[in-house]
Amino acid sequence: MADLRANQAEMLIDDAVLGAGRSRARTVGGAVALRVRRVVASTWLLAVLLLGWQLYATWRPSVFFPPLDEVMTRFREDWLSGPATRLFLSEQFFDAAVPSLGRLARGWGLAVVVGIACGVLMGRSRFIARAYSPTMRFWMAVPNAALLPIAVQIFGVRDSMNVFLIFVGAVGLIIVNTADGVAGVDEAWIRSAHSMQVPTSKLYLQVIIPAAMPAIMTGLRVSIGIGLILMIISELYATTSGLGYQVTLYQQQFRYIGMWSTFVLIAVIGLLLNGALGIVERRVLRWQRRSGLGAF
Amino acid sequence: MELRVEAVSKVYGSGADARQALAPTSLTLEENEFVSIVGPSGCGKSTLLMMMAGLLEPTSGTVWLDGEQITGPSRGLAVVFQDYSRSLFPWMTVGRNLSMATAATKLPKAVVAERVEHALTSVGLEGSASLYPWEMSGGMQQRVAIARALVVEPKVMLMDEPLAAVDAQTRADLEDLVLAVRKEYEVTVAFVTHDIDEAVYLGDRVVVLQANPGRIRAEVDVPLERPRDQVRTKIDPLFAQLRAEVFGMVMRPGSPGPGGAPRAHAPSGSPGR
Amino acid sequence: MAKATAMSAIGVASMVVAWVLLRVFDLVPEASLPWPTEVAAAFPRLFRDDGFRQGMLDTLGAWLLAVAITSVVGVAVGLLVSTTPGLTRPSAVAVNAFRSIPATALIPLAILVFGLGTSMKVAVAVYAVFWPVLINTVYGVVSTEPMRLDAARSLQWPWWRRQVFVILPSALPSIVTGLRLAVGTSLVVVISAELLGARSGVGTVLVAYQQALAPEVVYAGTIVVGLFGLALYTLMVQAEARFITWVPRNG
Repeated sequence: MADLRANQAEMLIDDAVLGAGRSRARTVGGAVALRVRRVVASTWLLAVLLLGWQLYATWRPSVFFPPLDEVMTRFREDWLSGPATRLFLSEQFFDAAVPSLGRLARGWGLAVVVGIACGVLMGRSRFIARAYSPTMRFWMAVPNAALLPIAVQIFGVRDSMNVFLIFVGAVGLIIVNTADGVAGVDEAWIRSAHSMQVPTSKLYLQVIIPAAMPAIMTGLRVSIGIGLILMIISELYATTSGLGYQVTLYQQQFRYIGMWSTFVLIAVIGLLLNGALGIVERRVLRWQRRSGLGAF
Repeated sequence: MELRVEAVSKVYGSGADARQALAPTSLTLEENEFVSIVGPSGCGKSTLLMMMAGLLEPTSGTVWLDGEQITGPSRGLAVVFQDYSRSLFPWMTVGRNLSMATAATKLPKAVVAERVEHALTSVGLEGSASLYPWEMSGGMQQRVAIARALVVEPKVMLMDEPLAAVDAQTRADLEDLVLAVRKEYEVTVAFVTHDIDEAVYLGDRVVVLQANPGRIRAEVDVPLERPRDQVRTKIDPLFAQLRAEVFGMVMRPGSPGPGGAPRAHAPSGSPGR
Repeated sequence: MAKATAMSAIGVASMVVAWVLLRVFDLVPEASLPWPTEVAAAFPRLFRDDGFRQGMLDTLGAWLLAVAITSVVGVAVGLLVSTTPGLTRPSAVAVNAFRSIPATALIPLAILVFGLGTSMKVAVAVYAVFWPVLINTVYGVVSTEPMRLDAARSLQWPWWRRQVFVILPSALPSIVTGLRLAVGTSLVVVISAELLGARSGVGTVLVAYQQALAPEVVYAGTIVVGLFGLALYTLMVQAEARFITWVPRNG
């Protein structure tokens, strides 16, 4: 179930996004020119699409679909009007985005720790793998959003409800991918470690987990996407703070430009998270890209 | 330090699928001896080596290291595997790869650092501790693998076709490197190879295995003088004669080697022949 | 086979035991976690409920429509973008920007624009899975073994023949991976939309039971939905194994 191919597709995006500014020109001037050209070559389509949005929205005005410039003005007022000492982030940012990010950090962070631990266990023990992989498969097949009523039932409308849902959505993906990666670690590496009598803790932390890292990273990437989806849906469904709540609030007050400015903020957060994970992955998996080796 | 293999055998699978990879086999490596093990594919030479290393449990028989029974990987033994890319850890620097080998020992950090640098110097890679394996050529990576075995200052070094994956020129260099480090570290070596020239060139003794089931066909002493030299040793008529002898036994199992077998003697403890 | 069944029975049994223990020691209030027996008893009630059956059909209909639209449009756009040089990288960047908005955030907007019907659910679901399908298609085409293309060129195969016999077979496994992700995600999104206030669907029914303080039915309903999800996923994997035979798979 580890979708390695999906992750390779992710890397394609990383290459396009992160590699845009990279160049090998010898002279400084040449490097700058080349860099500019490469950035333009990879971002023009986005620019055209955004321009299309602007033109269409001014040509056919609609309350639901405001022009980009109005949205961006609003975005600055809503989220970036704070003092320089707080990185220009506004009061509203701290009221809405910070609770959301806190929930995501707790839910996803817990899922990473628990997921990698359980995944390693499943990957190393055939018994556990056989006993629990059908249960896991069922677990993964439950559309996570359907657990929302249950989560509210158990936790009530509190932070722990959002955290629980994010955790539940992310942990399965991390377990399954880690287990696949660990089960696929090249036996030669483990034998080599055995021959050196590497102690068990080091065997796991420095050999098995690094060797399974390509698959683990796949799990982390897919799960952060699901985590974001669940963070928003749980906040839309029932909370009194957060980005999802902010969207609902604007909707109920018929302030649609504010709704769009929240979308933009959510997109920026998503971009930053994906980008950060992409950079971590490039760093952690440098050996795999360079040596053409991995758990697969 | 003497390594003694006593009537060791290995059967893979069980019941109707059982396949005997190695018939009961006995072999003794004297202290400081260099023993080459050759044979056709499927003769169980790697199986034998893995059992000597304590990485594979024999179906019957025992391995003794200096009077102590080997039941698992042991500190006095170091293994160099065939495929360096699958035995070195690509996510660690060369230095970390080497110090990993001392993880089981309680050596102080300074001693480890000193041994790492010393081992790297011995294989001609001084100052490359901060490189990653994938930044090096195949030959250099195999040098790292050898250095990793040396870091623990083993009594016995078990080498499983360590030079099979490198090109011919590098291979000759590495053969001489193996002889040099063996002398420097005063280590007993068991060297599995499928290359007959290499077996004769390196060894004090060549053990010839045959297949189906794997067993020792003969042991050939190699009284070529040391230090050996890629050119001088290989034009020695004795080298040619020994080579032909081993070649005959590996290539045509069942018939006696050319010119009889003056130095080949039936090994003790191995049945038949 | 029998052994595998026994093993998975052990796994399921241990989960039920954990559930019972939670109840026995009263670690969670009974209003939030009923006894397993109560949940089991709720299944017949659920199946007798016309609303649930109708909701299930509505959900599956919206889901099927979303998957169908995405697999046609997403794959077509993906093929176009990846076979046009100079368009691949910029579209990867654009896709990265658009997919950063979790589709669920757009549900309130979609409700405004499309109302509470099926088209709203489908629109949000398509937005959610369009990008992964597109990007997997692009990846599949881009990673075609260049040597095979060279071979085809040396055989002087015309353009269409190279597309059909070289590029498409190499890209198909990746396209199917994208579709498989789409199958799961779109169901999540359709149900999300229903939870927030579609007129009908299994999510709507679950919310109604939760508000009617019948948690055992909510649990039973969730299990049924999970089994459906599992069936869909299994179907997809088997179709993949059946039709894509030229790619070695691990495990």
